[in-house]
Amino acid sequence: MTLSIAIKSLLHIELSNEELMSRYVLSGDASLLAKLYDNCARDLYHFLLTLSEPELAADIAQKSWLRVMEKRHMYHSNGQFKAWLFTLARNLLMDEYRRTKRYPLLEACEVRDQGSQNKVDGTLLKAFSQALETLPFYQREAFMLYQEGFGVQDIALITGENQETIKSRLRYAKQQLRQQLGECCE
Amino acid sequence: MSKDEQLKALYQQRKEQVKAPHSTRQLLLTKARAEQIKPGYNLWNWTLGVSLCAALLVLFQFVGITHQQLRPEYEVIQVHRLNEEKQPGELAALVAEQTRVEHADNYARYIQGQQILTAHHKRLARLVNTEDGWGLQTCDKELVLLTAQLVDQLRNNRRLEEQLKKGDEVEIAFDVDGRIVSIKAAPGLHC
Repeated sequence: MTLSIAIKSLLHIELSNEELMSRYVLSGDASLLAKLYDNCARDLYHFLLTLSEPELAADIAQKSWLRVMEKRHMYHSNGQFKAWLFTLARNLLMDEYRRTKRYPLLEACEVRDQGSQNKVDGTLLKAFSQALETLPFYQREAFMLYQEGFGVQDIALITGENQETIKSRLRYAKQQLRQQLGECCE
Repeated sequence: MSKDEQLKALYQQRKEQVKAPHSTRQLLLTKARAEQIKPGYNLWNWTLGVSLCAALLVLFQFVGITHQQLRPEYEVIQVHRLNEEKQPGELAALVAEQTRVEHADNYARYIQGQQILTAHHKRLARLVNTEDGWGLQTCDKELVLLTAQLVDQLRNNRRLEEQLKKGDEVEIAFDVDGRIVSIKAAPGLHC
């Protein structure tokens, strides 16, 4: 691993997130962390933003990245960095919900306006965004993690649920999204 | 486009509308730079350096071994082969001649060995028993004492007849150096 990273560095070949993180764990080099942030920050923030309010999403995102710094020695080089990052963020978010005694599953699903940043041009995209936000929390979470490239097994590990539950949530989420998009745009 | 692909495309479009907070990046980098290990004590650099040194060492050793394997261990090469120009008949004659010479040498060595055991001269004597063991009284009235060791050796080599007893007339064979080679019964002969 180390030698391949060294060779890639010498040849200026782009390193994967896992290789960047492995190097960062060893060196603590700020530039490596910056690259990791540039690669994953948008995905994470978008995930958190869809599951919470903008202020809370920004706060949790920041805490997650700080935790990456603090807990970097706990990162396993054979694991997927993004899965580790999302697990940290998801745990922080759920801790926050528990602390404030807000249980997302019981919340009424309502369409929220994300402000000017999330204004969409196309009707379909707008409908999708609204449909996504009206999904129950755990279905929304499973769907988003799936769209981020995680498999059912990864999602089960990130959320601490069994795979059958994840499959079920994904199925319902897709079904509802299709239905809402169909109603909107057919 | 399938429904799943459509959802994926919409998801990506939605994500592109979002930007991660710049303030978080700034905060993170400031903190990371403050915590960054000084270059002199950078564990990564040390690891990289040691890895490269080890790799170079292995490479040099490999090159050295390969070079050594390629270098010949001899300087002069002698080629031995049968003379291909010779006809089969001549070749057979040559081999036969070499074999004959070898046999002649071996035979000469065999004859030389046999001569050691061949009697040079013989004398008649009578077998007597003495306090020290066996003795041979020659016609010259000399008593030749035989040690038990010599008797055993002669018997082992079958050069002393088993049935000999006291009073028997015997013929003693000596080699060039006067050593007893064999003792045989000589019933018809007398001094």
